[in-house]
Amino acid sequence: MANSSPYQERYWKELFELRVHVNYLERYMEESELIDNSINIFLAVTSSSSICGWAIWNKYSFLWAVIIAASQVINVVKQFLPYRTRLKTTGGILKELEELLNSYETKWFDVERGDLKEDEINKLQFEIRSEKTKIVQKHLGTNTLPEKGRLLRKAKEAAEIYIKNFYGE
Amino acid sequence: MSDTKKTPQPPKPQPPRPMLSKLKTFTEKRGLPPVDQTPEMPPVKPPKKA
Repeated sequence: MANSSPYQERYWKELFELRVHVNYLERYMEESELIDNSINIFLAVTSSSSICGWAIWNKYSFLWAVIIAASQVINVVKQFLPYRTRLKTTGGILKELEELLNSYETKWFDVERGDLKEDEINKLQFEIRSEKTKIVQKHLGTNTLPEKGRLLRKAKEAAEIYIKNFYGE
Repeated sequence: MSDTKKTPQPPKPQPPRPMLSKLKTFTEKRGLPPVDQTPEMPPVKPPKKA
């Protein structure tokens, strides 16, 4: 863009990255919830006395023994699995990042119309970055959020659709 | 004895083993991943002069 400034370009990139991260965390949360629920359902089913009593297990006693062994192992290690913690962590980060995104996407209007000076745009961009770091550190603490490339790709695709719909020609 | 005895070469550096690099990735990346290839910025007016 002939008339654009590198500061406007950077603000745009920062905003896009924030949108992708919001989408990414939504998907991360959904996946963690799915795994956590699946574990709980599996444990509930295997500990149900009525299901244990099904006549079909007489025929497939080996399979039932394997299922029971698996459920006992999961029951023991469950407290060390990260999914429940990740659910809380991603939920907390997501809520605050969504607010941040809405707030700074509103300011894109001023950036786009050329109502701000370069140093003001630069300041806004670093406000986003600094707020984002604070939010992530506050909720993540000493926990980890291993990168999931598949979720990141989906998040980026969704963000590109959003940009096309609201900022495209 | 021949004089053509070769001097031992230092071992070539090996690429990291997949499991180790996976473990490194797991421990190093703990926040939000960087995003590449941003879509093109829509047309904008130039910023105000300072």
